[in-house]
Amino acid sequence: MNEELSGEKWGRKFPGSTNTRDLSGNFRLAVEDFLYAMKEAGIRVAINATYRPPQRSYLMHYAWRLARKQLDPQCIPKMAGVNIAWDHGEIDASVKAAKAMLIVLQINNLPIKPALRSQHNAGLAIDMDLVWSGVVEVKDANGNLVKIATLPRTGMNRQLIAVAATYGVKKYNGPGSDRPHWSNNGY
Amino acid sequence: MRDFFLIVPVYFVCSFAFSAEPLPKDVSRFIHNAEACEHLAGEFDGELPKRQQDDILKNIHHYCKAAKNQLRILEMKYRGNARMMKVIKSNANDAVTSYARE
Repeated sequence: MNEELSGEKWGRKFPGSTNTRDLSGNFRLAVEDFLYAMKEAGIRVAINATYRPPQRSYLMHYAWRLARKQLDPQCIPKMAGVNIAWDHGEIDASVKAAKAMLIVLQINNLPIKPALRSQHNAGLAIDMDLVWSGVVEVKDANGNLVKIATLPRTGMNRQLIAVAATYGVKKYNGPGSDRPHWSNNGY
Repeated sequence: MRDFFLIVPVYFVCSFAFSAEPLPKDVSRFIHNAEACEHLAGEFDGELPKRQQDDILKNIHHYCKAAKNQLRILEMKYRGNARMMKVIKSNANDAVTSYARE
């Protein structure tokens, strides 16, 4: 297996997606139906993220840790399909290359270790900004038109969240706050 | 034998009552913040629009900082309480322990 030394070019190899085509199975269908209903109702949608390749999360996670000298580059586990050589032979060179990756990945100022897994890695989450003006009528998955005259006119609207749930698209309802995040299970 | 039939139900009732005991508020608050922090660790990506990145970072500084501070305090407070320490440690995820304001 030909391995390629780590460095900034690795930061560009596994971009994330903003396309619903990259979502998984039934969740993709659910999201696309919900998006169609919102479009019909005049709701403006801006999709920020759908699928994030697990390889990208792997690179983010280990580059972040190596850049902070939290682990030996020789101890970084391999990932199938990612032929990266983290070890440059000298620790300073390995750390420097990891730091260069963080800059390209734009996570050099991230104050916590990036997770190796999220709903985005499974294609089961979408981040999107929603906005509309006035009153809208959105069709739910059962074919009922739901009139939404309440505030806010964003993805945090409770009526819209209830409509989305009929499609199987759940607003984030875990601890804390994540306004643009929707998924198959609310996490 | 009669004692056995008395002791066994009492044991199960007591252990159930113990396991159903609500967690102290400070531990519950820590778990809430730690779980929020862990979620955010899987959300941040430099490809997101700047506005969403800023929002996530703001939440990271809120929840992860709180959880990390709480962790230090709770580990001292419940040092002699094995059951509580187990709960605390099982919720002290990577995102919380790695938090460092730069």
